[in-house]
Amino acid sequence: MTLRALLLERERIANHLGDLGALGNDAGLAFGLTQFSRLKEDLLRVNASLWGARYPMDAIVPGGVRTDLSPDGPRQLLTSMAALEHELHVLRDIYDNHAGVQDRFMDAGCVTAELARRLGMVGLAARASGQTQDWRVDLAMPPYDGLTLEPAVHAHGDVAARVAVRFDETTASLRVCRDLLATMPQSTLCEPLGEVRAGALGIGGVEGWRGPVVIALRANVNGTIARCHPHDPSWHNWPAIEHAIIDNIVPDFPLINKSFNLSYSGHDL
Amino acid sequence: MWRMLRQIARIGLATEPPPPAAPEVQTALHGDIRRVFGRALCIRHVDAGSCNGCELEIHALSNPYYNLEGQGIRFVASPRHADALLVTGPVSRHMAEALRRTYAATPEPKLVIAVGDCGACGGVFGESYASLGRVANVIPVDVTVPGCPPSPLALLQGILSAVRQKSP
Repeated sequence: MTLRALLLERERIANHLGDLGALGNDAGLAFGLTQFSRLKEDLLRVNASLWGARYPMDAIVPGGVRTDLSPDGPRQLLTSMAALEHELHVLRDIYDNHAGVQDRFMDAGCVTAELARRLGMVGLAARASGQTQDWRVDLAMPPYDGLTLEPAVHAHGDVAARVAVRFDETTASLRVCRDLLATMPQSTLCEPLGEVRAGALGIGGVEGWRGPVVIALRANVNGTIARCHPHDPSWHNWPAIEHAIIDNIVPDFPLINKSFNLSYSGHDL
Repeated sequence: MWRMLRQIARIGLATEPPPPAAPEVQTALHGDIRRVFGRALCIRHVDAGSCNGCELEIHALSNPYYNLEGQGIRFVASPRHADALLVTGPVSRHMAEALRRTYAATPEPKLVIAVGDCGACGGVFGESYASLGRVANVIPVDVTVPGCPPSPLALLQGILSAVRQKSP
């Protein structure tokens, strides 16, 4: 489970880095995109060298993981994370002190806490509108139950808040990765699954980088999958964008849209 | 501003020298693009039902390491401006007609590159009530780039082999 969490946190970091760059770009700061896409590529290459895939999606299987960390893995991860954290610090300083960028970020695409609550927003965008919710904390499963982790919450609900949540969470995820590496247990990588009961219903959920991702499965009589419903957090948050863009100037639409970065295909699920 | 300049100066040029096998690949790519399309290769990307995994790697092609635009290849916003279509995903029924029209709107000579396992063979989605499966089931495909998602280098090589196929 520790390795699963490590992979999940690295996915969160990779996507937040991509978004932070794209948000700078949409505010007219191409420098941001260049710098952050470089950091994201560095992280993906470390993934590829450790797990054989830049996006190790297939590494997670029912019951555990089907990959392991090489003996040299922790050292490689710690070195690359230290470099990333330094760069992140430098770039956050630049974003925070860039008048033009802040002018675009602040007060753009506001979603009030009240609206976020009424719309049932989830994940990153909800936390930027003052909603204290994070399944890693609220429904802490191992190894998150043994970690000290606070939801990254900002109150203002604008693009600047969603950027700040991403910065905070990236830093927190780096710390979580270090904690996980320090306590990496020597346990079974994959537990055998029990017999599937005919007609059984199972629901699994995890706090993905965008918000809670839920999968519901129902078994057939013979133990095969009868129905499957993957549920993406985008489904809950798309209606919030419609409210967020009201009274904003048209050129701010791409910026507001990117600050949510919801999935188009995820909405259809 | 000085902080940004210092960061730019400190990082320097991140664009990589081409990987071992690639120098002649890249020179050949330039030559082929020139011969077939004249100046630069313009690509229209079509998401026909992708999970967006392939899009992550297509975006990575534009990062400073791969610097796709530096090689004369760029993405355009209309099929009418494009030499090639880069199609991702199994073709969902909702996107089938849009994909056919996009193909029809692309001027000749045109290339179609089907990206990812889904584009190449339907992937985990296959053919169903919602999906028509691989891209070749809907429009003619010149090259497929399998992978879930394919790496940026695999994408680059796919684009090259598509251009090669069209070379006179």
